[in-house]
Amino acid sequence: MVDARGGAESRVEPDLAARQAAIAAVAWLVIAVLVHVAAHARLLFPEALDGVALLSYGRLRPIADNAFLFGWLATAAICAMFAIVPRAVGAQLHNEVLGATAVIWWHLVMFAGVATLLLGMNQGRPLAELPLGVDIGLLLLSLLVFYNVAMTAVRRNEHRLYVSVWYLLAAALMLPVLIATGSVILSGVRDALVGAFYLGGLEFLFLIPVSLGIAYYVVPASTGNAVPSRTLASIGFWTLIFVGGFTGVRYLVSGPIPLYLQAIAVAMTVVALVPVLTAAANVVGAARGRWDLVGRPSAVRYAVTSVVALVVWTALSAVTAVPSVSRLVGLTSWTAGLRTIVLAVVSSFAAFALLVYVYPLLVGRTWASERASSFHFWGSLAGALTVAGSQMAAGLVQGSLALAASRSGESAAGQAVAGELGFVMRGFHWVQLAGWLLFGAAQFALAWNAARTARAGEPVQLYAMAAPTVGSRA
Amino acid sequence: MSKRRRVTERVGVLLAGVLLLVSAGLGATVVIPTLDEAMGETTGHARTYEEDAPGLAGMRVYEREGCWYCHTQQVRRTITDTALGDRLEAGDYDGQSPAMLGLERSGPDLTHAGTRFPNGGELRRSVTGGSVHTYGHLTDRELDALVAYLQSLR
Repeated sequence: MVDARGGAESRVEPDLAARQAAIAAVAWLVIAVLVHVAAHARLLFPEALDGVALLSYGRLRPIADNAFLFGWLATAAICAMFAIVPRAVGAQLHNEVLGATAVIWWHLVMFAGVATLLLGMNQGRPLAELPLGVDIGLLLLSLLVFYNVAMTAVRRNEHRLYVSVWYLLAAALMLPVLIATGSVILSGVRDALVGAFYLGGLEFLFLIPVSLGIAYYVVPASTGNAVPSRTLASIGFWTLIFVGGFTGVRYLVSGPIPLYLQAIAVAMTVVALVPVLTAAANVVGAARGRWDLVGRPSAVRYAVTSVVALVVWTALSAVTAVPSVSRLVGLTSWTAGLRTIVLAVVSSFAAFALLVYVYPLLVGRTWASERASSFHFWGSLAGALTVAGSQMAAGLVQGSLALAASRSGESAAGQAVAGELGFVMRGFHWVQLAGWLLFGAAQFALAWNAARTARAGEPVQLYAMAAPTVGSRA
Repeated sequence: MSKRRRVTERVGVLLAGVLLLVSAGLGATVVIPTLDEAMGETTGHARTYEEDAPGLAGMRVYEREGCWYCHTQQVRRTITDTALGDRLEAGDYDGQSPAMLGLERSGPDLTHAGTRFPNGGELRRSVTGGSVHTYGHLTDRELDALVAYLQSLR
């Protein structure tokens, strides 16, 4: 491997850090899904194991969420940064040993985070429940990741920075910024505003940039096509970064915040469709003439699914932010359904696209089982959509009952009953449990296939695949 | 080569641009509202607790056990929330750190739980005998504190 600093032969094995991140990401995915299943089972059987604090829903839920976000998706994002940026800039990762060390410590800190959550050390903020000490650890490690990725781009051999590198650099920069923001606990509505910025930032400034960075790389690299428009890519990138900081306040629409903030949040969430649609046009355009790849287990199939889901999710988020819609589905399970789409479909399918494309390069073998790959795609999609669909349907029922209760002048106690919905909600919980079980089975298939590939996959000639040609130098 | 292209080809400039644009969002949605005097408005439902008050200990139990995952503490300016009681203004939340307004209302809204359940025993039974939670692992002292906190929400 030629190194970025002038052609010297690197002594460290290429992709060491990326390979570690890929394996660890899959392990965290399996853990996260198992805990999601356990948490949903607790909702259905609250009296089973009653008295065991460690297995209460309030302890399992943050573990499931954080394992999914910081264990699975963040580690997959680090894998994308360590695997794609070097290839796109024509240089080895700036410091493989530093990268591998950061990955190992990231997981040690995450395990400590899981332990603290089990003990009930919860910060009380959605997706930022990890206590301050854990946050500081993740912050320092994310700074190391950012330094490594940025230095790789600075000492590049390619003159132009490819679109994927813009998105992955931005995400690498925003990860420590968001971790720091999420650990700032204020008082009152100021605290709610910080929490809302953090949530919107996670979606629009970290998860979506990583997803698009992956899609912009694996689709052209797999199809050999050029990305249709660099101008469109540039407009999409800068618009996304601009609106990303404004969109979080939509979580507080109609709440105790000034009206101008709500207007800004709604407007910016609608504007977010611009970068999403431009990116979708470019990515889908790069798949032109190679739709056969969407019909079989390939990185393109996962990436296109992720981008289509992103368009749907952004449109639904924009519609949901509008006060006349928000009054019906805001603060209901509909919100949870949207979160499931962005985490389990948009971000996860982009991460799957990365793994499907890059894992053979990292272990030097082709995927061992096409049947397992196919089951993984359909199982993941059906499972995630079952969970999200059930949550959104439950939200519609909740909102409709609350509206009916208000119109009929029912008392607050009546509203409380409408909030719980008794056996109706229980039915939705059963469907969600089934969805998580299916999604989980698919992840076991992925883990099994990855392990088998490392041992028994067909050897590939690394030099033929290590530097795939990106159709366009967009 | 156009100026726009140069921006996306220089790592430092690209990252500075990202930080600048994100700062605009952070400033507009967090910093400026924080300085807004209207954020101090209250409707007289302020939730502040003395250092050793049971309500404060109960708020910690509420935070630790993740009650806020399924219960909200905000009455919105919408027709769907009219039966939930008075709407709270920003200043009413000043004593809450963190502010657990909640994002999902899988269970009842608790903004005025103390008004709705003036009887502590009834409130305690609803905590330990709910359809999705029983909290058998909480000690009597923790349960008392949690009930005291919920009763303070009026």
